[in-house]
Amino acid sequence: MTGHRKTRLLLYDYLRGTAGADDERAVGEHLASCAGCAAEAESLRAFLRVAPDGSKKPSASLDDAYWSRFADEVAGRIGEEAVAAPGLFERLLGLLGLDRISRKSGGVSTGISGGFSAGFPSLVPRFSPAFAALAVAVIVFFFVLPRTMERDDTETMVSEPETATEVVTEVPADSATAFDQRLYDYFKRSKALLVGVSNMDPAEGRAIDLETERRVSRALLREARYLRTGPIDPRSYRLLSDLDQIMIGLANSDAGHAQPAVDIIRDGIGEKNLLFKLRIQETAEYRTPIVQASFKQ
Amino acid sequence: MPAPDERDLIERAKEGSDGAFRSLVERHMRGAYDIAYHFVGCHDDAQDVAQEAFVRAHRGLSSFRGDAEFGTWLYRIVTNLSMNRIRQKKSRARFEVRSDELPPGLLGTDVSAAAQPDLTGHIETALHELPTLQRAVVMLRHLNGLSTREVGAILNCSEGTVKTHLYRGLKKMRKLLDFIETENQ
Repeated sequence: MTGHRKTRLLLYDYLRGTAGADDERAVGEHLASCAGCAAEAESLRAFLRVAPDGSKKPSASLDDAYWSRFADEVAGRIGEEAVAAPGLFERLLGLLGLDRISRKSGGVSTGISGGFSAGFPSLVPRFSPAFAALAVAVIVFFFVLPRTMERDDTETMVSEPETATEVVTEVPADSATAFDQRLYDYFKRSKALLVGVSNMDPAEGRAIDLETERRVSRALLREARYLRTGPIDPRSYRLLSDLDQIMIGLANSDAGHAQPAVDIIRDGIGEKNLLFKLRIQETAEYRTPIVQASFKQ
Repeated sequence: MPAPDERDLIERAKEGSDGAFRSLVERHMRGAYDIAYHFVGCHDDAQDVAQEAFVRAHRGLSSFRGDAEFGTWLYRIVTNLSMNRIRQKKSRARFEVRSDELPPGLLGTDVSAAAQPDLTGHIETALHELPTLQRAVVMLRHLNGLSTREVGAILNCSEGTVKTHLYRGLKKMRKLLDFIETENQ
């Protein structure tokens, strides 16, 4: 008779009717005599009944005109690739508009690379110092400055949770919509915090500063206390309670022992599947404020 | 091994026939798009990935020996590109998590998916929680309806490995969705 492991690996094909005759018979015999595997089969059968399968093709929703365009675009992309990609120097010329000058001076009209090879040699000796200065300016402007600005943005982002308290207390709570919005904001902020903690990857021996996380988790605990008094659905209520446990752990984490605290919190997040539940909650919020409102009635 | 008429198209495409390659595109574009869509979860990315896969297939056509079906070879390119696209998205999200605005499509699920009925949306979300290889197997085998052998050829693994990943992936999805079932009881 087929063993448990083999049976379970064959269950999918067995239930979908794609197993071979021998496998089908062997699995059938095993299920008749094994309650554990039979329960597993029933659970999978119930799941497959509701899970979307390959019968609905995303491509079927697109019309023939789209597919004709699709094939044209592929041909276009292949054609573009066939044209030699310009080098760094040529792209720099393009940025400075010198590629056109070089094409004119060389009398070549077959594209950037042709223009460069024919016209640039005559241009370089006359303009090389000015050109070098321009090139440096362009590199600084396009490559160095944006990176510096990106760093500034990140710094702003890290300090952003300081405004958490202001945000959560500003929203008026005098309507169902305002409450929904406030609940949604709470989940979104909780998710950002949890993902941040889950992704913490400090260098070996480097201390972790959880001050911001502590402050935000306290603000979220206050917000959760308020939300619990409102018209909240059962699932959100349970999620609030689960999140509270994590937030309390985070709010009380010892500054001197941040790494163990992070590990414990991560375990808690994983054990309760909190990120998954938050994502579910988030998509539910996006989906149907109306359904949610009727659910609460 | 490609079917005789497809083999002919491939040979002519290798010799530089644009028409022959276009015929191959027209034969496989829907399948390529479907696979990409199930991975990346939104139309724009799926279109881009599928088109890019054809461009790469065209570029690498001379190295296609014809041991496998052209479709299998193409779908492997689509799968690899899709998984790279998801990794890029995740990696971007990782560095943006400290911001308040986490994108709703963080794991490849488009907001438009949210328009679907509740359970379907939850199942999609659960699917995107699976490890990469398990997700790839569930998508190719269950959502795209490819055979165990085809999935093994695309992912370059044995049929036994495909079955194992399929079983584990579906089990994990059921476990993730348990709490919803409990609530409904």
